[in-house]
Amino acid sequence: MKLLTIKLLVVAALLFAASSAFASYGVDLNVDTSSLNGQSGYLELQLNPGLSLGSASAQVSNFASDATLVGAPVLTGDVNGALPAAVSLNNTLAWNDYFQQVTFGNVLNLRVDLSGAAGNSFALSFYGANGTTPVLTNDAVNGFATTIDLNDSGAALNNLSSQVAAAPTPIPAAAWLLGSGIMGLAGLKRRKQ
Amino acid sequence: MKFANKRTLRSLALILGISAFSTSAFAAISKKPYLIYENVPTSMTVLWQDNATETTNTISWGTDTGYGLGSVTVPEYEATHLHKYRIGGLQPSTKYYYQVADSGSGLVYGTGSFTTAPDQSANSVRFLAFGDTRGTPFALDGVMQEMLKTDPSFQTFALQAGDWVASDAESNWTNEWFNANPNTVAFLNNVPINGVKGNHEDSSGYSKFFPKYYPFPYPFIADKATDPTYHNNFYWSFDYGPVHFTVVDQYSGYAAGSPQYNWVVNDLATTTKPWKILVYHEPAWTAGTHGNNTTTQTVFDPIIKKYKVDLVYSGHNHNYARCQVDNYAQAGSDTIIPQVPYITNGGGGAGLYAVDVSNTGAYKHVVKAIEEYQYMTFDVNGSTLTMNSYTATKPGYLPNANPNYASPFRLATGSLNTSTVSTPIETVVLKHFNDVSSRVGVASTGFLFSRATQKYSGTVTLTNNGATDLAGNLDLVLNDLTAGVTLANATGLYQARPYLAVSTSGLAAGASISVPVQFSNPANAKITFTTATFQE
Repeated sequence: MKLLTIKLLVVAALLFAASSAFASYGVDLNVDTSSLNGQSGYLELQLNPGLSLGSASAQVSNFASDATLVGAPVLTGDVNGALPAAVSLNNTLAWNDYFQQVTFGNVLNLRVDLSGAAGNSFALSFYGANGTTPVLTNDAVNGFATTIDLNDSGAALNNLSSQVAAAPTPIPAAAWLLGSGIMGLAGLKRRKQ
Repeated sequence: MKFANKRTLRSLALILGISAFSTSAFAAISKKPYLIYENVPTSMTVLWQDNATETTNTISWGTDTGYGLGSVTVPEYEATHLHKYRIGGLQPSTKYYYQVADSGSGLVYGTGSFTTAPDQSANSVRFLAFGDTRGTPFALDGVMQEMLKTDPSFQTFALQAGDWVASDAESNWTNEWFNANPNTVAFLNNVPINGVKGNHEDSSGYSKFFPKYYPFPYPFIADKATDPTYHNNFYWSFDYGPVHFTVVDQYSGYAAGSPQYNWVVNDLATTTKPWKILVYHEPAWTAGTHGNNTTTQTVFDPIIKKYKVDLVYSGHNHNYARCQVDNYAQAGSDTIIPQVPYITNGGGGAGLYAVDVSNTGAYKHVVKAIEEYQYMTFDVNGSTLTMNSYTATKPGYLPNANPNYASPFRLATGSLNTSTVSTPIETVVLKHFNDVSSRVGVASTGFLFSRATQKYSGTVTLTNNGATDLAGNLDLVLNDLTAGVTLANATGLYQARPYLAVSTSGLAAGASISVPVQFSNPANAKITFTTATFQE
């Protein structure tokens, strides 16, 4: 019994350490693009490092939209894939960017799953036809629609657009495991008493 | 007999009259009173020179022109009739008036005023700075004209960067430095001047007239073996309020391990003043026309770094230059990255020299340089030192188009152009910060690129990991920022490194604060830097 307690404690500790050093975070982003329906523009995804030396990646999937994807995307840095199929971005370079011309429809939905070290950030942005004027954003400084920062607590979602509805995965899997480990320990203690 | 007696009496009267006239004609001052500060805030030293031996010269002083505080007879103290008197028992930071006269003839030789140095405990002080005044008295008078127009609070002391005269000869000192032009006389009468020997005060190592006219308290002045009227080792130091000046003689041995070098090291290591200024004539880092003095770089740059000298003050090049070595590319063959300003302040009157502002070759370190007659003001206030540099010429003067060096100051009539103006060159603020980096954790988000701004942005978060609150202003300094990357929203520069003002109200223990950062990064290079957190 004692050995089991120690094992569970170690597992819980490892999970806790893992959850703080490496975050795992998912979010469904539903964008109302109806105000731009029929207009030409751009969609941009990027994952860039900060001071962090640890690796991080972003998987973009579940793309669903009545928008028209125009031509091939422009990939900068460590980026693979093309919408509507999955796109993966890694933080190996300063700027890891997916830039896709679109003709906007009414909706644009996608899912982003982030994992890796704290100190990396993901951004979803939209631009007008000139590729430099931000649209669908309230961010007057940089023009991002949504950003996600991986940090020591997991991740911080910054929804900077009135047209974006963000539905994060409530609790990261690691936290579920940590929680279940702690609950298990508590149960064992009660049984002992 | 009666007639003969009358003739005798007339002759006697004539002789007496001629004699009296002769006395007043020959008994005259040749160099009007001037001032030096000998490192005692309760004193001021006044010097003047007569053209013959006089035993009845007096100096009187007071807090007004009644000169009621004291009066003494001052005999000459050397063979060429120089008089020197240190007025003591004064109050620091107090204005006094003085008069030099000859009680025998009743002639007044000169009057002036001065403000004593601040008390040693003072944490603020102001002063003027200029240099390389040699050769063109009219231009020197023009620069002094402008310095006399500054806020009087700066006219309490002036720092001279060397090359006072073209040659260390009696005639040069008389005709150049002690010229009879009105602003020069007024400046010397009223502003104590301390400074450093330049190469034109005899670069051979020994000087005769520089120490004669400026007998600063050199601790190790030595006679020349073959002619004891010549001396060397004109290195010395003094305090002025919160500032410590260490003055180096580059024309006496100063190699590592030499007596002068050891003295400089000890002087910098032992001063308790918060601000340290190293003074030598030939700049280690400059903007031309004379190149960088690499010998001085090798000898002094390591101790500048080690003893946290705040700035280096020089002349030699007849222009204004502010240089700073912040990386190895700028340092060239030097192995030290001093990261402090090297000021060349040599536009005090000598013919101007061109500057190299190309930031290439031997001049990669030039931050600002201009070929102009100029001077500077220094304003030290607690943890802040503000340097202002000014041109001092007539409006529209173009140095390269005016081979006559006096032209910016001389009217067609030959008299001084009193409509010269002081035009700001630049303002540089140095700050002393308390490094609290060990108590503060720093983390960042990723740096995301905006196509709208063409810049990378993110946030940096500081966390007070210490057990106690951090009070006051907190600044984050970015060290070793990736080449080609600049911090676009920097609050300013701290020793050439960008910094951000993070908080004006401190940071409580355990608390965090985030600040936005924005980088210009045209090459899309990986943005890396280390940080230091400073408490103002």
